Amino acid sequence: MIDPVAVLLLFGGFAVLMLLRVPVALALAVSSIAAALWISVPLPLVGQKMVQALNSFPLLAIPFFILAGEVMAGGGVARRLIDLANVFVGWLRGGLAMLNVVASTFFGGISGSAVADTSSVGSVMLPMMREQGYPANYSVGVTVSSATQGVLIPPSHNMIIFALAAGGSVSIGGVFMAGVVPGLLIAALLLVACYVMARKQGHPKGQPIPARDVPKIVWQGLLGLLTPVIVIGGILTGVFTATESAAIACLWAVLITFGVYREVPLRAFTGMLRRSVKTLGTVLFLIAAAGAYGHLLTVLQLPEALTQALLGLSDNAVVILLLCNVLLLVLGSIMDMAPLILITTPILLPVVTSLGMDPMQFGVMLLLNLGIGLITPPVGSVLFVGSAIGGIRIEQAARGVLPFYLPMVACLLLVTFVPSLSLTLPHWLGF
Amino acid sequence: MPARALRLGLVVVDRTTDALTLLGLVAMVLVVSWQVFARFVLGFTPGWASEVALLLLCWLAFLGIAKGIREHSHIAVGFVVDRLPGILRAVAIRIAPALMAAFGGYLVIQGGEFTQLMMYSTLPATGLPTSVQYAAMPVAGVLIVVYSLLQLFGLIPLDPPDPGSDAGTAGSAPSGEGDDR
Amino acid sequence: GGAGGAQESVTWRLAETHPGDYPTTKADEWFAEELSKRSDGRIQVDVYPDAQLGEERDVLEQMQMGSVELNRTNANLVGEFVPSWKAYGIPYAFASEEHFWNFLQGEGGQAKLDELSEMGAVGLAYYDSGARSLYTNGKPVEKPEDLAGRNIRVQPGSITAEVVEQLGGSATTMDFGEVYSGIETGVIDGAENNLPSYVSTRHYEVADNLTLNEHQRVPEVLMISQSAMDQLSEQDQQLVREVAEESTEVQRELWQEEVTASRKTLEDAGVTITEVDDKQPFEDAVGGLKERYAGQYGDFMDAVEAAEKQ
Ligand code: NA
Ligand code: NA
Repeated sequence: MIDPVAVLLLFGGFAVLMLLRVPVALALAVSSIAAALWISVPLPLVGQKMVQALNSFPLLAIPFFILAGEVMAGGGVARRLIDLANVFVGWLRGGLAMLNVVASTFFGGISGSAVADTSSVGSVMLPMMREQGYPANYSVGVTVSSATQGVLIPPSHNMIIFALAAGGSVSIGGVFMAGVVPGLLIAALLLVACYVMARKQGHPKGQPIPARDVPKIVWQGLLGLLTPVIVIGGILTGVFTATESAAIACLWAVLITFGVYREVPLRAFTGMLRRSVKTLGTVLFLIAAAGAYGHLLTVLQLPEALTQALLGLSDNAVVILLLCNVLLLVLGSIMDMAPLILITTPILLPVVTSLGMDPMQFGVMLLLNLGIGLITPPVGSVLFVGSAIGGIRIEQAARGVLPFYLPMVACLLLVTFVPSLSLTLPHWLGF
Repeated sequence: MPARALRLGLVVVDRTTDALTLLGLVAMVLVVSWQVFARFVLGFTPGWASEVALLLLCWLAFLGIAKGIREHSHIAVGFVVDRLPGILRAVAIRIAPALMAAFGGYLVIQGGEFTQLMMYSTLPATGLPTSVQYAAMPVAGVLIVVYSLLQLFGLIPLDPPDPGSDAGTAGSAPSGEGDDR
Repeated sequence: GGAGGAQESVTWRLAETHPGDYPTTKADEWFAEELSKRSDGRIQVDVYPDAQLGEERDVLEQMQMGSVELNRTNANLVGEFVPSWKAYGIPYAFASEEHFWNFLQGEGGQAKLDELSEMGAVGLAYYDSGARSLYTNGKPVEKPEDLAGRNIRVQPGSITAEVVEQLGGSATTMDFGEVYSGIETGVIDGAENNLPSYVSTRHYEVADNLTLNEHQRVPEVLMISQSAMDQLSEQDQQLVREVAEESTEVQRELWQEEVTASRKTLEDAGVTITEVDDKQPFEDAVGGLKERYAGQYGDFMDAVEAAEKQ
């Protein structure tokens, strides 16, 4: 016996408020309070569940990874990773575009944020590409498309949000590992796309790096790349847990930025902290509000009903999985990643697990869908940042992204229908 | 001059929350790192460490809601409202700050009541009253009410700044709608 | 509603953190069904298993607020709301399982249930949670000395932390969800729990030495908020108490089955089970601790002693 008014308040109220430019988290909280009023549960419940949603030790990894990403982005690590990538692909035809992809792959191992990746790699790469005569639309397109790997390649705070939204049934370390191969696969497919485009459109060749510069470039780049090594190595050797590794990653980032690179003064740290707190304020508000919203869904016994409804659409697993992808792509084009992870996981995870999909694989599929959403209009934060840095209109940037949908959707289908792509590595490591 | 006093008061409030949240984040990193160091090097685990880190996280989150109003950083979907004709848009963009003020009021009143109810139970590791955790609601609630009322009456801009105005800085995202983090 | 008057029907929520096939959950379900049947549908109870409404502490707060009416929780946690309940954590307080249940079902156990009024709750029944024992990765623990320098995960702020320290181990607090990988990678060397939880968490896969030292017997308790109870007539309140009391027998039987099944799982998996026939060395190691808490919770220890003589 589902209460239709409460359902309307939760779903309809949320949707209407969101379209009225009410912040997503506030829309979640307000529709929860409205539903709580209607079914007359005590009102403090919404606040209590908000606090309890934040009362989870693994959640601490999110501020730490965000801070580590900010420190590395602001402290010159992006430029060094670009230099490092240049050693490998810079001299090829279309080399700068490929460089952009490889740099984003490296950066993805440090930050979990496609926005941070776009703004830090993009602000160095886009002027370089302009100088060499790449079309601006294409340059922005390759920058933002390759930035989406950041959410798949560990560490990634969005994966932690997913693991938490999945209700502790998946290990954070396991989801991290599940993202590695699909993340690298996107990089490979994007490189192929860059190569094909370079041939077709006659993109310029880059300069080979003088051999005597290589050791310093490699050394400085590797210091930055050590962050994921420390994180994953520390977890696997039992020095610290996945959550604690994030705090250590922060210390490491501060150490190499202010102790080794010394490109920015120590007072720049305040700015990095401030940007982290700003990001955190929005992410944590979402996590808290989604906690209260999810609780009301549970009290109203809705997730089970929704799961049954979705499974009732078809008895063909392929059709249901494709439907899930379409749903996520559409939602991803109008909403952002964190709220969608929090809202859709409790509803879709039971659906796909009943079809035999491993939660870790679903995590990768979910993040890839939402990652594509980040570069898809009308609402795409990464697209916005990319076009702002590239100095072009959003429509132009969207046109630049078009050729890259093919490799990304190909990867999405592979992730959806080839479980071993995501699962071999985590299973091999014992997750 | 009341306007000037108001602006000065705003600066004080801004700076205080700014300092508290930044220090809170640094303290969280240090507390968890200390937990690792103590266990791995010194051979004991400080039981209070994770509890204190989580208390800081809770306070950071709620103060962050208030700061997010000030900085227009809460994720919102603006493409519908931005297509509305002038007067309708002017009304529509005031719904969010009005609701935010109401939500702040909820945190002050209901959150405050619940905080009082939680005065008699204790947190397991530190033994502090549970209300220390929940007090983040009414305290941040006051700030949320203040900021959103100021925004409603135009003393804080109603519209987010032009996206991309600060996007050139490495690692920063444009404010307002569309921040994946 | 209102006591004595013509009473409307009520629908309550019962919060349970264990999954649907766990003995406590099955007992909750039995309680709910039986209560509905015997009240002719006047009292409906919806069981929410799997921590759907939140973890135990979270739910205790919700009960005080009034958004959850009933819950099943561990006595250890109740101590954070009613300090005198910490006494259930005193190591080796009970000499045997029989002694433990003599206490719980006698005057002493009832007196503890009455103390729940401090948090606005009515204690309805005790459920079995067995005895807590140590399990480790690497060298089996046969005597307290074998624990020296080893990191054992305990619940934060529990007397168990002191127990582990007194036995010579290093008490480590860690999020419950991180324990499995923590043992696997070596951040910690082991943990402690009862047999069924050791099996259901699959911790035995990574910590394959179980030492049946049985350092604590901490009961589970089924409780209801006072305000929910007040909605019922005198007779119906009595009915709730009766059915709850009967559910204890149901749960204890299920618990025994679960322990037997768990034991078989462990044996099939090749876990080294160390029986501790003489617990004296363990008891001696925590003797000072027990004495100190016995001083602090004198009434409790007197009642425990009285229950042994029955
Ligand atoms: Na990443
Ligand atoms: Na989008």
